[in-house]
Amino acid sequence: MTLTERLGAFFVWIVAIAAAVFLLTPLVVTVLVSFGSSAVFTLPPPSLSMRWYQRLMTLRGLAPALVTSVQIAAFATLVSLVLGALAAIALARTRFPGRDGVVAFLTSPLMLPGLVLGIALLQGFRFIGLIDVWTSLLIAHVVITIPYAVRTLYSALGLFDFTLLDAARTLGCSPAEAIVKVLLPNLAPAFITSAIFAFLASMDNYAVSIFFTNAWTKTLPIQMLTFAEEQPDPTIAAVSSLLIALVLVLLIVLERAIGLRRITEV
Amino acid sequence: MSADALLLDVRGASKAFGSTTVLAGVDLGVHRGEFVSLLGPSGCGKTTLLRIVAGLLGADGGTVRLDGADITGVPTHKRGVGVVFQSYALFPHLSVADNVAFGLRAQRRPADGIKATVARFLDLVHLGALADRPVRGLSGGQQQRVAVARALAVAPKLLLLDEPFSALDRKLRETMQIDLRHILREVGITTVLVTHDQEEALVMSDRIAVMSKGAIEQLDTPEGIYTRPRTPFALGFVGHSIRIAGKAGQTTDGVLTVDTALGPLRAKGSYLPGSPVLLAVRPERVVVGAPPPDVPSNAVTAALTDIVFQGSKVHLHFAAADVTLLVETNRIPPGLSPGATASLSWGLADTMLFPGETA
Repeated sequence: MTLTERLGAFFVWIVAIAAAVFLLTPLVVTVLVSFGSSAVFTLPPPSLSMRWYQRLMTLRGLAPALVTSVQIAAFATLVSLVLGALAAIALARTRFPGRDGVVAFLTSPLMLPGLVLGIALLQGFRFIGLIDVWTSLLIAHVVITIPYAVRTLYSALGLFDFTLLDAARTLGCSPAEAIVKVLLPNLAPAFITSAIFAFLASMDNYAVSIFFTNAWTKTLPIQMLTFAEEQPDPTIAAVSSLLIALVLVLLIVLERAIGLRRITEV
Repeated sequence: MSADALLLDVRGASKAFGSTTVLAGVDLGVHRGEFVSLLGPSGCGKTTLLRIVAGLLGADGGTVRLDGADITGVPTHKRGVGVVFQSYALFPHLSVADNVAFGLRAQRRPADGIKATVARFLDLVHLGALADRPVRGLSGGQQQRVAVARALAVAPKLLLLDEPFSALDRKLRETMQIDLRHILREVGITTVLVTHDQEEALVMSDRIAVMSKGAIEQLDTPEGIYTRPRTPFALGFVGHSIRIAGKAGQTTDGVLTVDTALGPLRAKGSYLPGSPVLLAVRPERVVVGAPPPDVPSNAVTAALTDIVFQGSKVHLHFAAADVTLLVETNRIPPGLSPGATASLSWGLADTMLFPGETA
C-alpha cells in the first residue's frame, strides 16, 4: 500500500465513522431517554426505569392510532405492490413513446416535498368529493409507497429472463400460472424488499397524512406529535424506541430471508 | 407421401412485423418420428416459424396442424409442443429434478408417477446424480440436458429445438449433437431444429429446410441438399462450391454450352441463348489434371494461389480470370506449388446449373 492509498483509506474510514455517529446518535439518545426515570429529556438519565413503557399502556389514543397506521400501511403496501408490479411489467416489457416519462412520473412522489403532495391530493379529493378519512389516507399512502414498488420491481424485471415464462407455457402452464409459478418466486426478493420499504415509508409518513387526519382518525406519527405538544415527556421516546425495534426486527428478517446485500443491490 | 403421415403440417404461415415481412407463406410438413432442421442465416424467419408452431407467436395467416388437429388458435399450454430454448430457460429457483418435474406438476399428474418419470428422464440424459443440485452451478452441456429432459418429460407430440448448441464450445458441440440424436431416437420423438450452423443440420437431420428471406428454398435430405441444391442460396449456404457466372449458348442433346470467362463450359439443362446462368461444382468433385477421356467433362486452366493443409483434407485455391476455384483433395499433389498453372477438370454430371443474376 502506498502512502496515498493509506491516507485515502484512513480518510474514508473517518468519514464513514462520522456518518454513522451522526446518523445513530439521535436514535441512541431516544432509546436512552426512554429508559430513564426523568420526566424531562435529561442525559445521562438519573436512573433506569420502565415507567414510560408502562405509561404507554394507559395512554389514550395511542392504540387506535397504531391500528390505523398499521392498517393503512398494510393496505397501501398491498395495493402498491399489485399496481407497481403491473406497471413495472408493462414498462420492462414494452417500448412506447414517453416510457421514461411514465417511470419518472410513478417515482416522482419520492422527490416531491410531502407538503406539496399533501395539498395537491387534498385539493384533488375535495374536487371529486372524497371526504372519507380512511379512504383518503389509503389513496394518499398508495401514492407515497408506489415509487418504492415500481423502482425496485422495475429494476428486478430488467434482469428477469422472460423466456422462462415461454418455457413454463410450453410445459403446460397458462399465462397466469406461468406468472405465479415462475415470475413471482424469482422476484420474491424484490417483492419483499419493496414491501418493507413501502410499509416503513407509510408508517413513518407525517407530511402527507396531516392533511387527511381528523380528531377521530389519526395515524401514529400524528398522534405522537399531538402527545409531544400536549405533554412532552419520554413516553414519545418509548414509542420511538419501539418503532426502532420494529425496523431492526424487519431488517433482521430481511437479512435472514434474502441477505442485506441483495436489498441494497435492487 | 400421404398427407395423414404428417405429424406437423404448416400451410401458408405468414408473419410481418410492421412493414417487414418475416415469413412469406411457408409450407412445412414433418413426418412422424422425423428430424427436420430449419437452416438459414439470422433473419430468415426460422425462429419466427418455430415460435408460431409453439404458439408463442400468432401468425398473420396460415394454419398449423399437429397430429391431424388444427392447432392454429390453440394456446401454447394446450398444444403438446415441447421447446428447448437457446438460453435453455431453466428455472433458477428450482433444482434439477424440480425443473424436470415442473411440467408434470403443471399438468397435475399424480405425485408418485412424477417421481418415477423425473428419475427416468434424468437417467436418459445421464444426470441422475445431479438431481438435487441447483441449476445455477451446472455447465452449459449439463444445462442443455436438463432442458431436454424437462421438455421430454411431459411427453410432447413434437419437440422444437431453438439453436440448442450455440452456447456450447465447438468440441463439446459435436459430441452433444450425436448424444442428443441418440436420445431423441430412443424416445422416438418428432423434432424440428432451428439452426444457422450447416454442419449441425447435416449431422442431425433426416431432412433439412434451407430458409432464406422468409421462405423455404429447399426441403430435402442432407445429401439431396448438398448434391442437388435447387437454388444458388442453398448451394452457397451448405458446403463449399466453385461458382462460375456465364451466358447461355446453344443446347444440344440436353447439354447447354455456357460462355464463361474461363472459356466454354457445358452443363445439363436448357436456357434461352444469351440469358445469364451460374455454373457450380463441389470442390471435391474437381480433379487436378486432364479429364478421363471417356467421361464427358469440363476442363479449365488455372493458377494455384494457396495450399491449405487441413489434416484429413487439403484445400487448393486456384484463380483464373477473376474466378476463385477451390479444389479439395486428400493429399498435396506432388510437384505442384503456388504460382504453377494446372489443368482442372470435373464431370459433366457434377456440373450444376442455375439461373444467373441479371446484371
